[in-house]
Amino acid sequence: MTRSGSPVDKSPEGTRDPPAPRERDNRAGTLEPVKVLLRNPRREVEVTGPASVDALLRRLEINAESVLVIRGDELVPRDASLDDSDEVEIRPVISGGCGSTR
Amino acid sequence: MKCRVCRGPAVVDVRRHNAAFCPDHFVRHCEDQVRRAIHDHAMIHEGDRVLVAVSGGKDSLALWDILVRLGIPSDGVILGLGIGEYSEASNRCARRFAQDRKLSLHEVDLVEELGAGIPGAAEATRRAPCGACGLSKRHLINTVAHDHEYDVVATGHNLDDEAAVLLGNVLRWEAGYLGRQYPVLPTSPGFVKKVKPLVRLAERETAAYCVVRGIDYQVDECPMAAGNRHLAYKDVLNTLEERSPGTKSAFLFGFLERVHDRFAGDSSEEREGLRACEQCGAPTTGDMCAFCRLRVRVTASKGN
Repeated sequence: MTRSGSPVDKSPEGTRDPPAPRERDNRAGTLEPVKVLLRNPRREVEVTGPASVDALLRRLEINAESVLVIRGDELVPRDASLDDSDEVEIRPVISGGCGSTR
Repeated sequence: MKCRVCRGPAVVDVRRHNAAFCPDHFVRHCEDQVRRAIHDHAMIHEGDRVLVAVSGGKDSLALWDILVRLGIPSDGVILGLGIGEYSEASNRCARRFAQDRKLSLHEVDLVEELGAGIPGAAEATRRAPCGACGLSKRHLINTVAHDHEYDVVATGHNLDDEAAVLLGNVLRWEAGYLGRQYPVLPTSPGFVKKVKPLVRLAERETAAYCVVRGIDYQVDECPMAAGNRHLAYKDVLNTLEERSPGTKSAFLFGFLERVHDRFAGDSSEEREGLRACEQCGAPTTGDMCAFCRLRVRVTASKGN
């Protein structure tokens, strides 16, 4: 298991890596990474030490306006702390495909 | 974060309203926004027969759910677009939603109507699939609504959709499209009235609504839409929104309240020149409507 602080791509296809974290915001005592399910393409990454949902999204360089963060069946607000070994899904909410006219 | 209404733990924030909500009050917030849109634009009147254009995605299922909760009886219509497992999974979501709530869902198979699904249509025209998809939906949903005598077609276009379409139309100064872009398109000969009751809700809110309400929707993006211009416009607008919450809403509603009227004449001229399609009778500006022209091209491509 990588403990460098970098997200680790666990996708079977090994598609694209999320960007490296821009900042180190490790919490003291964090031992297990947060498991994060990403979509389009579907893949799983592990991220060590994000203190909050906001920090997790910043680290992955994801615009909070374009996603929901979900734990189990429940929404997780931006300021919520993530516990060690949490498993969360970052679900895109952007859909398109209707062309430029209606 | 605390719920703006009850001060209990919030699960979702709506930054452009500088607010956060617990699950119950978030559902109420969404209902209030839809109720207000319907009222402000006189979208639906008591006794209207409403047909919801359903895709199996978050917007149309949230819309259908909210309309029913608001006491507006509504049926649904969904197309089988023929985009492989993506279409099948989308239609399963819609079917399950309707069955669980004992709602009526019309199903139309595009392959039967056109001779091909969206991938085949895109191949026949050698153009982006989203164009063929949009025109097929507009034509077939209007046809179902017209044939079954619905008064109103309600679509799941949300604030982000409308802001992105507006940005695209402004960037190219598409005067006719700007004149037509409005939350209500009134009924006219051959066209059933179309309304967009989600225009006051961002798509992050419609997705959150589905999660809170336990609605199982098609989460995956359409494989044919990847990289299209509409998504690029949304990306740009969300970058601005993140830095300055309320930007999308100010852009769209500023246009609707202060600018739209100036373009209304550009679209009415187009509608005045309409006649019946020689193939199917649908309103068109030429001899044959766009959907029938597409079917001719699909048929011709099969012969090659």
